[in-house]
Amino acid sequence: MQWRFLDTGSDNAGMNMAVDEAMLQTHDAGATPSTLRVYGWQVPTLSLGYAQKTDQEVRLEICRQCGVEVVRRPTGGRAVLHDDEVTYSVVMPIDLPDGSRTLTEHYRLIGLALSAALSRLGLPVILARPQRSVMSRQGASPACFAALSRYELSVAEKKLVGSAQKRAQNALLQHGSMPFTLDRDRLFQCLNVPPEQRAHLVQDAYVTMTAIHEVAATPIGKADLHEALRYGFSTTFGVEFVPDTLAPAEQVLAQQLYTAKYATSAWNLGGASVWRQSSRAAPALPSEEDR
Amino acid sequence: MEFPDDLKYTKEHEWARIDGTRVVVGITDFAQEELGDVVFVELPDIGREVEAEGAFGVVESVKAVSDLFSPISGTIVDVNSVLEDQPELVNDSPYGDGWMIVIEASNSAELDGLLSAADYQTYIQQESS
Repeated sequence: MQWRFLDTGSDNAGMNMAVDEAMLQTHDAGATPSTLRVYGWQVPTLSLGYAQKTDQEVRLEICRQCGVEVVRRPTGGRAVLHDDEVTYSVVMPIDLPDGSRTLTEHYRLIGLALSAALSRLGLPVILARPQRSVMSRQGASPACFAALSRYELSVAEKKLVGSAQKRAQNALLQHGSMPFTLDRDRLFQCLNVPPEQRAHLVQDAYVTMTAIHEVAATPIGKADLHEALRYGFSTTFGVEFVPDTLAPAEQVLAQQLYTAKYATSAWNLGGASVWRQSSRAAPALPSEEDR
Repeated sequence: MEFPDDLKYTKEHEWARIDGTRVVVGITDFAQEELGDVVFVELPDIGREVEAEGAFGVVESVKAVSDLFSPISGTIVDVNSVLEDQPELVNDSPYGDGWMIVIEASNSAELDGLLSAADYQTYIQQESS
């Protein structure tokens, strides 16, 4: 079986998210194959989970002063600061080849693929074992990386890769940040945390979070990580990768989603409900006549 | 795990409590357990038209964002706005206080296509294997 491998390079935050959602919608409609995508961020970006409340959790003025863009993901979870990293995204069917369809199984398999990739680079990564989820509604930090959940990846008990998933009817999108370096100070400057706790949270983040260059014994670059990701997903899912580009329908849909959603403050700062009230529904796929 | 006999079910893990043409909809015990702690539920406006298998809302848990799919076609006549402040009701009482929407069905024949509790239980056993 063949999957696509897409390297869409570094783009602005809104287009990064628009492409991920376009990939999910087209794969959900059966118009494209399963796909592994890698990308980067033109400027440092704070991405928020689907339901995070911007006014409560983000210091927008500080973000502006620091030159940090803010975008809302189509997936859940908490805030992630993207900068010096490879971001992966994968779209695949909810129906797995062995017939299983559960959320847990998808996280496990994708976790195994990521683990295989990082192990290939010599990183002593551990896939978190299934247990009662550490993440709960009572999580103290609005930052995603501060919480380790099932099937997530750590090195020396520090979270290395944070991922989030969106499930449609027939397909899922999972994406995650694989940082080379981490700016913990900038992250917690951007987040709305109690001022008296900020320094402690930053210090704590040195215990709970890590990045590739902090744990790698040898230099690892983007090309190395791209190749390792292809290896990890190829061996775990039994597929071979074909380098490709976005299909025309995906490009059109991504542009529509960018314009109507991911470039708007209604979505990024207001959230899903605000955005739906201020706009029409998300655009449908172009019809055959439009292609 | 519960599979109340008086309900109908879908493969997308929604349940339907049918009272004539009024149908109460939520997500199943299996779904809430798979999702983990629900932190956000986005429900449609009253008056919105929905189609069978069309998305009517979104649920976010600590593990994933998932679209919610209507079991039938019709008009939304009520939503459980309590879930805005208490999304945990979906986990604590998926068939009771965690109900999500009420649909006035427009096509009664669609109700016949829903799964019985026994069929749904068989389906999820296959899905989990």
